Amino acid sequence: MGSSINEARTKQILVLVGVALLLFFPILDSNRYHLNLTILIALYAINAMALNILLGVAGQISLCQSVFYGMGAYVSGILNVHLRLDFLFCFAAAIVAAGLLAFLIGLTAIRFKGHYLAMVTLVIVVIFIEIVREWYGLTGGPDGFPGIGKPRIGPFVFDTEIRYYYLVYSLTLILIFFGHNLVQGRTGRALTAVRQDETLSYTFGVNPTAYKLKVFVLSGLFGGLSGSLYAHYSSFIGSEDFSLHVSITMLCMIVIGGLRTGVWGGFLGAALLTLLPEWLGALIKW
Amino acid sequence: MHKHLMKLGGAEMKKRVVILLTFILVGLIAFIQTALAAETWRIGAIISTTGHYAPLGTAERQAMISLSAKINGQGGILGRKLEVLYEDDEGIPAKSAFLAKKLIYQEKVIGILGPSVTACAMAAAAVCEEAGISMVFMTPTKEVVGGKKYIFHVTPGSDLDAIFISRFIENKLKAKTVAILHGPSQYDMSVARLVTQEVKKNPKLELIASEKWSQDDKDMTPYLLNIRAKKPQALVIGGSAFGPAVAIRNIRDLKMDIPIICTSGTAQQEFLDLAGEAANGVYVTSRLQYGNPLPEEKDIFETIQREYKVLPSSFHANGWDALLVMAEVIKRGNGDPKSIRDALENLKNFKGAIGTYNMSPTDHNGLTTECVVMLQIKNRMWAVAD
Amino acid sequence: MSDLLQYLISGLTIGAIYAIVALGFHIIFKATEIFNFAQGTFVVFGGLLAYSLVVNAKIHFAVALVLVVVMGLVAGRFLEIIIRKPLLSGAHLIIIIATIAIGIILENAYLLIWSKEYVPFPPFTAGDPIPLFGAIVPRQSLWVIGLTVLVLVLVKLFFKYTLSGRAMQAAANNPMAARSVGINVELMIIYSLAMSTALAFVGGMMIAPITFAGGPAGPGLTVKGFVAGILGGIGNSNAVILGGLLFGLMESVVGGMISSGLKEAITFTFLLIIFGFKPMGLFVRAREGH
Repeated sequence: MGSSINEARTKQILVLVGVALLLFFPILDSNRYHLNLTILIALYAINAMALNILLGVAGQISLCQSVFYGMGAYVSGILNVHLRLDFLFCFAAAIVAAGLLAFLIGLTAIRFKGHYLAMVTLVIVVIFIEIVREWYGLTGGPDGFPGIGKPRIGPFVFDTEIRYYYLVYSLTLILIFFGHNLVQGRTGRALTAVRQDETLSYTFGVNPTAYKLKVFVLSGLFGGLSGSLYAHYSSFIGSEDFSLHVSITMLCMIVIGGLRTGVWGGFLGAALLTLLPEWLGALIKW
Repeated sequence: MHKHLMKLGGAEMKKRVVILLTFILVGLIAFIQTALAAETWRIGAIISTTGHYAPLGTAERQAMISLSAKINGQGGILGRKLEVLYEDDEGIPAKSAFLAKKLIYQEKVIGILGPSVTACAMAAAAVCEEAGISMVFMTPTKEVVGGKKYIFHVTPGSDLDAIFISRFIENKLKAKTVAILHGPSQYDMSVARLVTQEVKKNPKLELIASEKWSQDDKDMTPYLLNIRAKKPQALVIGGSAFGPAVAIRNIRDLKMDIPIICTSGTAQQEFLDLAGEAANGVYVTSRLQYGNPLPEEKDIFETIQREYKVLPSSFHANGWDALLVMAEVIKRGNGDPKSIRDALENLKNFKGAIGTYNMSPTDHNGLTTECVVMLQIKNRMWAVAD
Repeated sequence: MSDLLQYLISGLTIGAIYAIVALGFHIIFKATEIFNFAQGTFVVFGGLLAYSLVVNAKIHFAVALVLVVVMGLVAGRFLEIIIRKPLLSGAHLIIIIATIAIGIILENAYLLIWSKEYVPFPPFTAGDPIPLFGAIVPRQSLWVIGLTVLVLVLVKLFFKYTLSGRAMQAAANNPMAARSVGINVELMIIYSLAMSTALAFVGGMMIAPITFAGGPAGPGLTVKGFVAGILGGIGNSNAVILGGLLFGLMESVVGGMISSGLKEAITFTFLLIIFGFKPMGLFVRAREGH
């Protein structure tokens, strides 16, 4: 009993240290390239966390996370550039749109399991990318979509790397907290039941279909949120940013970070997969 | 199950945290590396050498490697050697922007060459413009410049190809109705769009059919049938090597008798290899005058053939000219990023392999249709069209 | 009218390849409950190997065909070795990622080994296409359709009449019972992977004259072959083959008659709708045998 209290305490301290590091990082190191790296880690981590819940806890293999990421990015960007709407509105719309798309896709997807589900979600990516590339007038087609504005809340513009860092990380931390609670609580247990044995979960009063749909929509919401943040950060998005390759990368992040570690695996995996190639490259140059 | 979760929280978690901390430590050490011998001109090159556009990127890189070796062999620029840092963006725009930031803020380059794909160029351009570092990219899309001050390109806009082709159809082929067949990739779709625009602008020409093949289509027959039904007098194919080769073989199979014009993306050896006999008689726009190279092209022909045993393609020419231009403006601007930019904007009458550059504040490319030449394939080899 | 016939001919030709890929998926799935996400890449690889044999080593087509089959069997054996551990522990995600990774590595290897993206492959028999009611039938199309039929018939005969074939079926249908009558289930799994890969290689060789050997078509072929298989109904070899042919025809007709721009999007959306109604496949009534 004593050891588990110690474990919990260690975890809490680690979390506090981690949060402190994150808070003070830009002050210690304001190199734009480094900040860029950490921002990208956070954006990918949000998606990886969603996959942690969707796949790690609920057992649903999804290869279409990049589609939700892309949906959020394009909706936010298009509303901002074509309709000149404010960032907050675009941001909210992007999240809703991605969630809606996830709902629609989910209606079909939940009928499938395992490899079948993987393939269905793969097909979704193919369809999404082709539509994006064909719709030149709306999305810029294969040439990409430039000119997306920086985020603004009232008069405050997030136009420097540091400001963006804090924006992204505060949202990420909120999502980590939310996700962690979800996994530890009733929903998490219900999703685990669904993963382990769908038929049996009925006996626990868990409707697997409803839960699968919900968690699918959740992955859509996370994707849409991070997608919108990405679009406004980068000011330019292209169809290749949301390809199957990106989905697979996100999956690898949770495999490497830890499939069943709640939401932490996603964050860790995102950090490793983003930083590792950079460090190896730097080491090789030495 | 509860115990399972707890255990993961404990031992597993600790192991992963230790790994992460180790990496952070190692990474910090690696980041504190000092830049090597600072007595070189450092420029970055963001090229897509893997991914869908790998053949393009590889050719561009080959040309740059050869030319930079040649420049350094002749003493470098103003006595200092040129150091090119090559990065691969895999054709992903997010990566291009990322690499641009890395090259500028970490490696402190004074100029950037590439990217080689339009979407990637757009992404990187935003970064370079903000940082005040000149970028000479290699895609035929003017929109990437979009009024920016630091962004230039050596590849002529596909609109030049489009203008040239539309004039050629009208004057040389004396045809009135045109059909377009193109592929799904960035270049294919952009050049098809521009040719469509040009043809529509020309009152003497009429566009009567437009078809697109999909990524890995093995067989273009369905699209060709649609085109054949409308009976066009000329067919423009927008693609690289693979697509047009398949299409042209299908066209010969179907015994369609129609003049075929390909765009400059097809002016590469691979197309000749794949299309074989079927390619005879096909027209292709090009930057380089195969069969009869111009004086300013002799260098690239000789170098590429000697070092890589192939004829230079338009992509070799892209990489070559990008480096050539950058080297020239580094000299004129004495390595200062702002002066480099000014030198670029004021580059006049500068002869590269692709053509003669006359840049200005409103024209960051500097090429005209003068750089386009129409080739015709005879006996499976390039020849200038009559 | 002749246009429609032409679409059908194109559709059947590519459909035959999808059928072979789908059959490969089916055989592995029956034995192991997994899918090889590198199946399409193997097809392309087979084409390239055939190129080396026929063009570089100047071996006769027929001999090359046999060699390609043998190489496919060997490759499948290697595949089994690589995925044996996650296979036994049932970690589906690992296998998916592993086979995807194999596919990626293989694709990057092409450029290194053959130093070109695509290589031209001579047709099995030379000659002009054969006219048929206003449409044309390329000779290679006949080869593809003919060989596919031959391969399929051989496979079915193998499963029905040979001891190994029946043993494989038994092992797939009920591993526990199969073991109890002395069948080496692990060996049957190896056989399944070997056969499936050999099928892929042969398909690659057949299609190479039409599409050129090499290229990044692998993943596309994997997706389409798989989707075609599900369309028909994985679990029944006839259904899977029909699914492949149907998918090829759909693609060709949609591309030719509806829109070439959105061909893939439309075809796949169609398919997803069909899946919504019949997730087990169009040509399957209930869980049947091979």
